[in-house]
Amino acid sequence: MITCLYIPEDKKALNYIAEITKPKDVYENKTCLIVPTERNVRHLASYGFMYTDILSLSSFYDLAIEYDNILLPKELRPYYLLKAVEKLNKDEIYAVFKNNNEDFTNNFLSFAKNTNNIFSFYRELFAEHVSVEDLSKASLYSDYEMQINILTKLWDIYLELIHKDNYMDKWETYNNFKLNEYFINSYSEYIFLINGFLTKYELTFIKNIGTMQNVCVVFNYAGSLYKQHKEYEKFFNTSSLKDKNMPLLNNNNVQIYECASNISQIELITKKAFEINKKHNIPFNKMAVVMPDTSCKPYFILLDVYKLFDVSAGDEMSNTRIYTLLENLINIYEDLYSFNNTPINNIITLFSDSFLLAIDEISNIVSECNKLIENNRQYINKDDLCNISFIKKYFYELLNADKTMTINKTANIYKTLLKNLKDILTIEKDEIQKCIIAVEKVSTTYKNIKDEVSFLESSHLILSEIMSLSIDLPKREIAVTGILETRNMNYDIIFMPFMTEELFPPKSSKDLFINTEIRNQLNLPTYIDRENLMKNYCFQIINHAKLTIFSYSDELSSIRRSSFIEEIIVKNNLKVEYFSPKEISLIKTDTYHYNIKDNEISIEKTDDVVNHLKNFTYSASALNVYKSCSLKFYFRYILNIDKGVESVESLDNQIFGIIIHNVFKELHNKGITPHSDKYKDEFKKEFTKLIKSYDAYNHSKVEQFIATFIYNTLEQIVNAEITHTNEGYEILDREKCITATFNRFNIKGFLDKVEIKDNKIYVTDYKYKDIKNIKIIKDDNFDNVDDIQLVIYAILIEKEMKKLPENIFYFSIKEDFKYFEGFDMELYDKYKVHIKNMLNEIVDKNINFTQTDKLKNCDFCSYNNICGRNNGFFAK
Amino acid sequence: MASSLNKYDNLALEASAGTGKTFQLAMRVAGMLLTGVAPRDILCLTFTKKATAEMKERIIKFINSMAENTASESEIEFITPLMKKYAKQLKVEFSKEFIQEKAIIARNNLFTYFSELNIKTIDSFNNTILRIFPFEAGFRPDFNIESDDEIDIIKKEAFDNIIANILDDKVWKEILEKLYSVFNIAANNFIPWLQNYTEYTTNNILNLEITMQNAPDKHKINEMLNKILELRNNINTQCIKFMHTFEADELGINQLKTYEKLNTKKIDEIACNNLIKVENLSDAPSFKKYDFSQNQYNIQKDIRDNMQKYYLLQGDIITGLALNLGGLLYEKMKEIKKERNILTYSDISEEVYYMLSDKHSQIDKDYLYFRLDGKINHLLIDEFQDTSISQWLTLKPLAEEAMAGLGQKDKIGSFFYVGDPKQNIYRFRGGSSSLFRTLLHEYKDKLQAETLNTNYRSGSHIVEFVNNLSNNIYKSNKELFSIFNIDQKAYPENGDGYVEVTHALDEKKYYLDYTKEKIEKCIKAGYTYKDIAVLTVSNKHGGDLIDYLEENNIPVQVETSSKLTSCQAFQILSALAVFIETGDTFSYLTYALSHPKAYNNSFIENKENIIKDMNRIKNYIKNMTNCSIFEKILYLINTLDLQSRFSNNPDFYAVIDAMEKGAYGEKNISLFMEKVYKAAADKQSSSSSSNNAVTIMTIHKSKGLQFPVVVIPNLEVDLKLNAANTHLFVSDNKEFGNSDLCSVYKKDIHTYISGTKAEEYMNNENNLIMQDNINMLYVAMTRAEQALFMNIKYFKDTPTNLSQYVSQFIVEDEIYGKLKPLKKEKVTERKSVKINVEIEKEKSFGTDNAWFDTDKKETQSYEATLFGSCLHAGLNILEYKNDATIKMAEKHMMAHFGALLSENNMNLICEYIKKVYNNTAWQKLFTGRVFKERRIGENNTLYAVDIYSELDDKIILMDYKTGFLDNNRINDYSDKLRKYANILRKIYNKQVETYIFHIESNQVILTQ
Repeated sequence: MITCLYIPEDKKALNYIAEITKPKDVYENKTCLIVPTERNVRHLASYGFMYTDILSLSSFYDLAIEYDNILLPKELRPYYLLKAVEKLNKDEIYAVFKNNNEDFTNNFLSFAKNTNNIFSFYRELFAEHVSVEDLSKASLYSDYEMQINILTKLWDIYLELIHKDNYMDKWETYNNFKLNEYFINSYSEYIFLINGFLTKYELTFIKNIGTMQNVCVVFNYAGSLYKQHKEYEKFFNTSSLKDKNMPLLNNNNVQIYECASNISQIELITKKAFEINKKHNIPFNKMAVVMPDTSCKPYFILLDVYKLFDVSAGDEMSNTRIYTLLENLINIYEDLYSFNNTPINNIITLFSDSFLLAIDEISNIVSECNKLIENNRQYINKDDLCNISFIKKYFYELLNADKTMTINKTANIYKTLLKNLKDILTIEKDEIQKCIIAVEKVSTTYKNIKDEVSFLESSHLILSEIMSLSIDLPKREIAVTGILETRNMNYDIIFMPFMTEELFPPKSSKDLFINTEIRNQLNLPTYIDRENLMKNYCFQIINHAKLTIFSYSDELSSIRRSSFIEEIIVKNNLKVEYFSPKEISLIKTDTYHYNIKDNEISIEKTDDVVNHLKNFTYSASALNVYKSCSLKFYFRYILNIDKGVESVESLDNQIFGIIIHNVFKELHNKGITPHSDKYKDEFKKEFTKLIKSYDAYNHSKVEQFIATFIYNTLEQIVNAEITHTNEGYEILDREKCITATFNRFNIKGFLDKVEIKDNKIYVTDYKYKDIKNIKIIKDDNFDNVDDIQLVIYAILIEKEMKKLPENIFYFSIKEDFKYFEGFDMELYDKYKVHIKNMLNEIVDKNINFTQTDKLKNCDFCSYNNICGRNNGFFAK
Repeated sequence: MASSLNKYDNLALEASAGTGKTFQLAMRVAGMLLTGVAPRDILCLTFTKKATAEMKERIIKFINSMAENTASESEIEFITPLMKKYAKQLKVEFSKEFIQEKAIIARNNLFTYFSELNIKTIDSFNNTILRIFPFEAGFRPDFNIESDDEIDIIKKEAFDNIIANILDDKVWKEILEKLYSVFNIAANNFIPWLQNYTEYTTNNILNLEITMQNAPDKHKINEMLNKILELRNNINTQCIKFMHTFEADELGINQLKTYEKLNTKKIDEIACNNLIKVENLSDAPSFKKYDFSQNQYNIQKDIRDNMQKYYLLQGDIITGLALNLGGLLYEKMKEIKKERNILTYSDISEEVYYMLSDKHSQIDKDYLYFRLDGKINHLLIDEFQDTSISQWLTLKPLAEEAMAGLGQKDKIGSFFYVGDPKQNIYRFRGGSSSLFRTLLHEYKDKLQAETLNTNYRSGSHIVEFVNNLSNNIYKSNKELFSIFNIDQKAYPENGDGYVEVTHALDEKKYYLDYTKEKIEKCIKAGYTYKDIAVLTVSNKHGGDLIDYLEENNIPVQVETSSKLTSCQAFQILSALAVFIETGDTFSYLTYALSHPKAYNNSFIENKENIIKDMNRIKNYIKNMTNCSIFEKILYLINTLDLQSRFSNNPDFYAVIDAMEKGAYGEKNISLFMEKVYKAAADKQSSSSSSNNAVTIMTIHKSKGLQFPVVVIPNLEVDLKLNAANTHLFVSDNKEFGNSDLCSVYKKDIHTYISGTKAEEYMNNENNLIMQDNINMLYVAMTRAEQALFMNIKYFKDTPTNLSQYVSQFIVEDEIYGKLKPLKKEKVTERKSVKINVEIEKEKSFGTDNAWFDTDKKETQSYEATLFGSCLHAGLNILEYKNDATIKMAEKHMMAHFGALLSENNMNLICEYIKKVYNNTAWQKLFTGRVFKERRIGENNTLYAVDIYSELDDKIILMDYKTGFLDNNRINDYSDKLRKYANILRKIYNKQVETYIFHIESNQVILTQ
């Protein structure tokens, strides 16, 4: 016999259930109480029942249904489905998947990921006892009928395959299940507590039990019956369910807050919790935070500065460094496998973790990597990488894994790796142990599958298994749960944050194969029904709470509060408060306050600094920096800070300039002069040699092609050089370093070339620049001169050789390939004074280091981040 | 307000600025809901997410006010005709109560089916479609949507890949080499230069379908390059020849300069040479008095002819190349995106277009509706002028269906679109103002047109001024600018308003003083800073204004369209993260010195301060080894009091949110930065709006907003009337997929293309650019409610920018009306609630959050866990004196664990089961009532008890164990059993005996 009851308006669900069960809890009776969640079981366990067994719905199913065969683990479903798909013909595959792309079936993981909707179709088909004919009738669309037929055929093939391997699928029994009579008869009465929807399978299940023993089904809902309840009543042949009143909401039991940010929502909840605890003496464990979505969870983990929140779902395993490490390793493996090398930056990324870097072996690897980058390397090849002892010790097996192998074998590689890593990641050894178990699980689940799968795929399989793990968090007082877990539970105070349209009601995906119209025709729950059910759960939990506090953040104007909130505001005439605290107390202690005026940066010179500057050796580039921005000079030459090396990813003007400079120098060192016959050939040879020291060149055909343009110009450079030599210039030195004292200041410079002709000295500076960008100094308008290099050279020559150069040339090695006068020596004296003044200014204690007025200098300045001139104007 | 809501006619509503477009749209949807249309039958498309949110809010508000009987008179008036008709249809008497009654039903319906109400942006609608049809489009359903930034990186990669590939082809390699020589591009700019052209084609591939098919192939391009090289030589030779003709003459200095410049290989330089540039040689500047010979005339003409050929050929080469490479890049990008399963919003729109509207599309409408889960009967589109042609084409089938009259199940459908062609400022994104009227023409039998003419926003002088200027523009350009033929009426309650147009001095920075002066004038007249908005054309020159106004103590707030990633809070917090993880001084200084600064200037005068402070910060977190970077940041926000530093700047909290969302648990700094950047990249930086400050924003950003006072100080910069920003453009042939790709000719060389098709296209394009600019001006002017200030430049020659163009119509300075604030109802400011509560608990950060294991013992292996679960499951079934239960247990274990547990273990368990069954101590339990696997609990903790039995005088409890057993373990287990016993004792009020049943040894041990 089956009776239906519902939780009366004024009763709390579990109390009511306990109330009706209590009289039956006597020695003579054998009652079984079945509730939806483990949380409910736990809660009821403390009610002290003596003879009543309390089970969760899922464990009850496990015991009450008898299976004649081994159940197929659900993880293996996609594997067998894929096998089944392979037995379909091309047209059939296309009809179902609308895709004849072979990658789709070739890649197991992506196949598995994308067949969820097919499995949910099957599950519903069998659980709801829907026949293929019903479906075909419900839609007039012929392609649909065809699809459904193929899907059914596919299921048959799938069953055939798993039966062959001695498995059965749980869903097979949905239409035709076998009750474990011995078990069912061991109780004389069953009480079911039901919250949501019941499928035909579940209904039949309950009904069949009802033919054997007494069954009482208690429904819990808020407000009026759902349309599904009518169905259930019809099915059980009763009509005892009644509409209930909705909870009465007013500003006394509901508060709604619009918050300025997500973090302020947590501030609100924390403060409110303390306020309520103090004023109304409600203990924290009578409060709960109900989240619409697990994505909100981290706030309660991270901002729990008063140790209030009990996040039962735990933290994510993907937040451990072991997980990150594995993920990065797989990326590197992928590179090594396809290209036999990997960008050095990947190795640096692998270890960019302050904890790992504290390990000497690792920090050494990273500094080696940085050195390689400094030497223009971009990639590291597999052998070199695996020769690093640390890598060899820990990662060799993984990085050298074959392309394909059984999942089991892959799992073993990971197991070994994880076991070894426990030694270095001592701080995470417990997490690693958990990971090892997850890997074992994968290996056990797939142990009978002997197919070789790509190492990458099975790696991702393992990673996703690891990712699904959670890390336990300390037990605290205010429960933080999802909505489903609140079913039948009671709290005095409910906080429901993050109530935006985006998150609540949670959007259930629309089905690909059974759309709303067909659902309506077949009386199946639609997505709207499911959404409304979630709303109903909310009403259920609000129903008995003394106070519910809703909040949402308006940080982005495009985010709206949930229509659920809208509805209760509108229907109950509620007021919305605005919460935008000036300061978030969670992350604030009253230590000190900022009273700093945001004026331009201006640095006064201390005596130390002035002394330092007096003894400093000034190069032309230092002076140029000073000229462009004195603050930059301060950063660069006094604080000595500089951006770290970045890898050379493409060959730009600067690099070509450096290479050609070096070619000249190398040939000079080798004693090969432009007079020599082989100068031209050697020049080209040297260029080729030098350019090959750049990985950016070696690894890119495009860079190589561009380099041919440059290579083609070498002829002209050399010709210009030869012509120049033939004009009687005789080289004294190249890359000549001269230091000298000038007005008590130390100055120095590297002179590209010093020549002599007719007893006169000539200096040349190579410029790899567009001709129009090479600025020659031809007047004494100091402000317009960005580069005073040549003047410094003149001073240095005068000091070193006691004679002024006759002329200082620029030699353009990018285009035109000409020598031309770069500095009018007539202006020498004026510039000498200018430089003297500049140097005096630098050591002048009364002149601060300040940001430049010439804003265009800031565009490409590497310090612009520091002084806030990086974003243009709208940054403020 | 005039109602556009008579019935659900198909209607094109042209609504000029301020005429209540959004109101009409919201009312239309609300009206439908009131008259019984189901939410799922409606699809309302808006342009931005924000508009979507506002639309939903308005609809709910309106329907609720009807249900509560609190709607305004004008709203009732608006809805009445429709409701009357509805009453008639239902054959009931119309009354106010009728409206209320229907509104209550509609309200309930709306809330129950809210998710079915489709109010979306076109992007998200297309996204929905692609999510439903991923396979059809060739994507996997779990595709990710990437930001444009991300795609740019991939584009670069793809392009390099293409170049690397074509370099293997001899002809292509030759082409690239010749290109380098012809176009004289710097080597390291060569690839970016090519990529620029290529990308343009890729981005416009939908329009260029046919052109693409007819594009010259590589051989043809190679030939063209040969030809152009030949032409170049010819021109050079001719120039030398031309120069020879001057040899006998004594030329003046200027003449000589011009003459010498002919001796160059660079064609572009020759093109600009005064001797060649002029159509008639005798007009050449500095050669006015020169007596040219016929020979010279002839040579110059020959050169010019060749120049024309040269430039036309150059254009063809560029477009041919762009089409070829563009196609390749498109394919390559498609391949990469497919492989990585990523798309951008524009890809989505494109894919949906191909899927639904392309000639070869295989998807029929029924199938579409089936999958879309319902049929849309009513289609409404907002801001239609900004709808791109491809977007329209994907909506077209829906619109046609909606207009078709009787639809599925005899429901009547409708199509409605509203917008203002004059406000189309998104041509660069494919918006087309002409579409608005084209549709009217295409569906003239089905669509009605209406125009909203009353401006509810601006004072009458402003309305008239805009009318006049618009009509002048219309008159001088005729049909090309027919949309500007307007006659808006001002709404009397908005008063007269004030317009002041002045002509700027010809000084670069004049607009700075101008703006300051006008702001001061407004303040003097009684306006507050908050009333004033200064609209600029681009972000760039808002900057000068901000600095200048701030220097002059005028408070400014900036409404940027900048990303959260470029706000200072982001920079500073990221720098802090990098610093604490890597110790990088650079990052430290960025943290310390960026605005708002942490320290005074004097702080960094001493290097030791820096070192000390760096160490101080590192010390704070030195014990947080197993904390995530975000946890450390949170801790530092507290200890370094960064909140005070950012003093309630909403960006600060937004950055914290982004860090939390993107990387709250990340410990690897590289990945942290990457993830945080990604999380913040699609967020906009906000600005505090509560301050009493002048708003500075771009015209683009101002769309849809309104301000009491609008100042437009600086029209002349950027708003150029000629194509200059791009190298290529698509000729607007209106017919989709059938446009030409054209090369932009700089103004200098227009003379060489005169009379050609290229010139015609160029002129067309320039007209469209002009229209764009004027639309922009229109948007800017119509933001003003009470006062409009505009600064334009005197017109001299042919206008080259918008300011000059406008000054054709406004020759004198003009002032209308009186500058005086109009008293308007003040919107009450929201006040934040304060919660004052004393918290006695101690605060602690990030230190204790590391996980701890509830069960301290080392977790077993997976196999061991399985073994235990299986054994327990079997024992749970076992009943003494019932042999059958052994078989049942075995069967149960096989079904549930057979797939995973090894055969050996399974056999072992079966053996154990038998051992237990035969154990006498165990059998004894069954003399009482036995409970198995029971949950008992206390204080919210739950234990599972393996088996116990209630006898008359006592309870016997047994815990199953396998594996190693020694005294230590026995003690551990006993402790646990003692807890169970305590609970059971309380429940049954009987003594409890506890035993450990070591199954392996078949030993039952009594515990204390």
